[in-house]
This record gives sequence, C-alpha cells and structure tokens, in this order.
Amino acid sequence: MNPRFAPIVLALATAALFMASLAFGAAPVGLARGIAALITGDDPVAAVIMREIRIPRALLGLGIGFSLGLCGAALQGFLRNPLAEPGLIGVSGAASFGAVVVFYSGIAGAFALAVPAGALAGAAFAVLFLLALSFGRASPMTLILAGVAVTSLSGALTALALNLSPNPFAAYEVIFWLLGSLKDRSMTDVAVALPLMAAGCVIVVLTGRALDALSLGEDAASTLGIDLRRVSLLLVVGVALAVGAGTAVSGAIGFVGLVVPHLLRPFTDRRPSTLLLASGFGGATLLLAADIAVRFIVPDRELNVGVVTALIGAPFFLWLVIRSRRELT
Amino acid sequence: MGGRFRRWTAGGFLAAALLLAGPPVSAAAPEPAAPTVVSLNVCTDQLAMLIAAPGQLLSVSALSRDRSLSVLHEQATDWPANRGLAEEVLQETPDVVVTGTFTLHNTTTLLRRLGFEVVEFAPAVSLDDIRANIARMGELLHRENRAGELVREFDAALEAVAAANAACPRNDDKPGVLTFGHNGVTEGAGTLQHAVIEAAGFRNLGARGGASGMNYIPLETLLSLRPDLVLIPKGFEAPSLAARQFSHPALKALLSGVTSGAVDGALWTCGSPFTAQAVETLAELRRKVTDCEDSGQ
Repeated sequence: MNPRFAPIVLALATAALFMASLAFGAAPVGLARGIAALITGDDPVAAVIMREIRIPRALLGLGIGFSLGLCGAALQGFLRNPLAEPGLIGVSGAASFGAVVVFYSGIAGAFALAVPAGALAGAAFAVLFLLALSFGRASPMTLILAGVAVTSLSGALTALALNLSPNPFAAYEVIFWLLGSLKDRSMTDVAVALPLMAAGCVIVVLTGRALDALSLGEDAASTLGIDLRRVSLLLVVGVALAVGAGTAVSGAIGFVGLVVPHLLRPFTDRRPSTLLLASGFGGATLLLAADIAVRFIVPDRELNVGVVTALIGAPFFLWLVIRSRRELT
Repeated sequence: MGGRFRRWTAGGFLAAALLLAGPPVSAAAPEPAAPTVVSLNVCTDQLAMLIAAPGQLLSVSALSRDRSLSVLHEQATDWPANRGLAEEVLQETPDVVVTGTFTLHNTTTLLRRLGFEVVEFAPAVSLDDIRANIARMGELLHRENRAGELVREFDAALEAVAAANAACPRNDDKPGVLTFGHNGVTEGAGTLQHAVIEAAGFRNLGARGGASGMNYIPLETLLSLRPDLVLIPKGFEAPSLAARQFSHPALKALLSGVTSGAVDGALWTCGSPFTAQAVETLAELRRKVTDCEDSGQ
C-alpha cells in the first residue's frame, strides 16, 4: 500500500467512528433523529442530548485520541525507544496530578484555564525530566523504569491529594484521574481543552522533519542542520499542551500512544514524519472505538475508558517488552 | 428551624440542665428506672437527643455535629461526641447502646461480647418506619410520653400537608420529580426520599418501571424523562467531580425546574420527626409548579 494512503484511510475511519459516537447513548436517540432534531429544532430533548452531551463527548474522544497517538509516535521517534508513550513514561500521570491539585484545592474557581494549566505544568515537568534523563544516554529500559517511577509517584500523590480533600466524594474520584473517562463531559470542557490540544498537536507535527533526521542518529542530524535543543523544546511544549489539556478534562488514558504507532508503522514508509499524522488518526480511531465500547460493556454503570485501552494495551506492552529483550540478547 | 429553636429555648435548656442534671458526666444517677444510653449513629443520635431526659444520653456520634447530615448539629455540641469506638463505650458504661443496622458491625459484635445491650435501628425508608423508630426509642429510654408527643406532631404536620394538597389534587401524569444526587444517583421506590416525594403529592420518576433503591441515572436518560422538577443537593464547599454534573449545560438548556438544595439534605438523610419538614417544603414547591397557588390559598 502506498504509505500516503495510511493517514487518509485512518482519517475516514475516524470520521465514521465520530458519527457512530453520536449515534449511541443511554437515551434512545439515534443518529437520524439526533441530526434531524439539530436541524429542525422540533425535538428539543434530542437536540440537547446531541448538542450538549454527545457532540462534546465525540469531539473530546477525537481530540484526545489524536493527541495521544501523535505524541506517542513523536516520543518514540525522538527518544528512539519503542516503549515511549505518554501514559507509560509518566506524562499523563503527572498531568493528572497537576489537574487534581488545582481542581480539588479550589483554585479552579479562580479562572477557567486553571485546571488545564495545572495539568500542563505536570506534563511539562515529566517530559523535561525524561528528556534530561535520555540526554544522559539512558538505555531504553532505564527510561521506562524512570517513567514507571514517575507514574507511580504521581499516582500516589494524586491519591494523597484526593484524600486530603474535605469533600467525602473526592477520595473515590481517584479512579477517574488514573483511568480516564469521557462520560458526560460538556461543551465547556471542549472549549477549554480543544484549542490547547490543537496548538500542541501543530507544534508536535512541526518536529516531523527533525525526527526523520534524528532516526539517522544525533550526529547525523546535527550535520543536517537540526538544532536538537530547539526540537526538544518544541516537543516538551507540544506534548505538554496536547497531553496536559486532554488529561485535564478526561483523566489519564493510557496505552493509546503505545499501541497505535506500532500497529501503523508497517503501513507507512517507517519515516517518523509520515507516522505522525497516521498515528494521530489511529489514536482517534482507537479512543473513539473504546469510548463506544464502554457504553455497551456495562451499560448501567459505565466503565472508565482507560480500562478498555489498558485491556488492549497492557498485553501488547508485555509482548513488546519480551520481543525487545529477545532482540537485545 | 435550628436558629429559632435555639434562640427560644437556650435559656430554658440551660436552666433545666442545671436543675435536673448538673454537669452531665458526674450526673447524680437519673431516676432508677431510666436507663442511660450512648448513641453511635447519626440517625439514632437525633432521635435520642429529641427523646432522652436530661442526663440520660451520655454521648452522641461525632457525625451528629455535621451540618450536612444532622438537623440537630447545633444542639449536638451540648453532648460529648464519640467516634463510634468500643473503648469509648467501655468508659461511659451506659445501660444501652443504640446504633444503626448497617454501621459499625465490628463494634456492635465486640460490644455484645463485652456484655452491653446493643439495640440496632434499621434506617427508616417510609414514614411509618419513622413513627416506629420514634416509638421504639421512647420505649427504650422509658420516655413513651415524649415519643408519643413527637409522633402526634409529626402526624399533624403531615395531615396539614395532605389537607393543603387536597385543594390541588394529584394528577398521575404531572408533575414528575427526580432526585439527582452526587455521581448521578437517583432514589427509587423503597427509599425515604421516595416516600417524602409521594407524600408531597409528586410522582417520583426515579421509581419509574419499578426501579427501587438508589440507582445511577445517565444524564441522557434524565433529559429524556423530561421531569418537571429535578432536586439536586446543595453539595459541599470543596469541589468534586461528583458534583460537576449539577452545572452541566444540558441540565440548564432543557429544564427550568432544576432546584438546588430545595430540601435540606439532613431532613431526609435520616428518618426523623424533621422529615415532615421535607414533605412540607416539597408540597409547597408542588403547589407552585402546578399553579395551584391561587386556587389553593
């Protein structure tokens, strides 16, 4: 298959799943009735369900899935590590912790972007830490182990922050922040997160050419005129924006950025730059599909979408670990 | 009610306490027949505070001072607070320990092993349960007269509501009401909230299709039921995701009747004489929703 087709095919799949996401929900409102209601305005209940519940949910699934797939591909390319992924190396976890601190301390009321700002700070911190580590010539395993440490530390701090809240419900919300959900988000969340995610994605895509050069090695990239410091700065800002903003409204959703680039690499020309867009749409496809699945698996008490992505991603991760160990020996 | 009650009775309370009981701990033994009691549950706390004679109630649970759970949260500071620990009960050596059925199972078992009489009160899920619990507490404390008085007041308040409702007859299609609590939980049949809603003359949409107990209701389902009134709790000051749905734009876009904190949560968290106030408040709200205000009064 011509490698140029991969992003187009995946973009079509994303569009189809976006529509499917609008079609299913707790209320018996199908796609046809929903769209008719939006156009004619005769059916206010269906119109509100579409406009205020399902469209925001589908938009967030699209944006967050795209961000996670794209950032996974970019991080794998930049760190030249097949296991790099926002969820695994602690970026999502740290973003979650940042969001939790801001939201539950009540600072969130001060200004609309406070929660995303907290998440961005957390994500940026984690990316910086990992880049600093990898510039010290860390082996792939060192990087992953450091990521695991960052993830469990932020998970523990998240639980601690939630338990310190005087609100009795807060302690139970650790599940949302660690496993993510898109349930009953609103247009307010879209307005807050989507522009930041879009900006982050644009910045990450800008690093494409540099990532191609980097696949030849750092020295070769330097001779090609790639400024490594500029690229890492772009990546830190881009990943922090894209993953941070998404995590602020959905909690940490893992494994999307790991699975998607690996699955798609064979269908591209294996250059990181072509993989970026394909992985973005692949991530959107996977997350939208997982988010539709959670509405049917346990319809009464909706599952967190991070449960489904972890069920798909964790065995895949294990397989990658085993394979990379075989290659090393 | 709390404020008024306090203002008018604080002086009397103090005088009575000094005359009859002296300082509560070193109390001269109350009448030989009247047993002393410790309460470990926020619901039994309130019944005991209302019914016990001065000096009879040795301590109440710390939760009874929580404004969101306990109507008598101000008065509760007049009694020592316990944390529901067996060690505390051992020191207070009451004749009877009262607690809820579903709370503190380990403590209950331990206290029984230590030879205490532990009486468990099942949570009230109907107005009759409330009457029965009041009467039972009265019997236990040898204060049947006081309990009877409370039941009579309770019945009188409910009868007044029924009389006012008669002027604004119930129509089984309308108005429909739904509780929408933290994490999207609604109360169906077999809950105290259901009993209160029905007594106020509303139809409880949370009990549609025979749904009973507490159930999760998705926002989409809530919207498609088109309730005339959605009762959401006032919530806590500290933020939580559990309360985030209360401000979801979809609720405001479609429903005019979303009322926050119309019923003070403490009035129906525990079944107590105060639950009648929840019925009164809702009945008043119903007369407004059904435009009976003019014809009814």
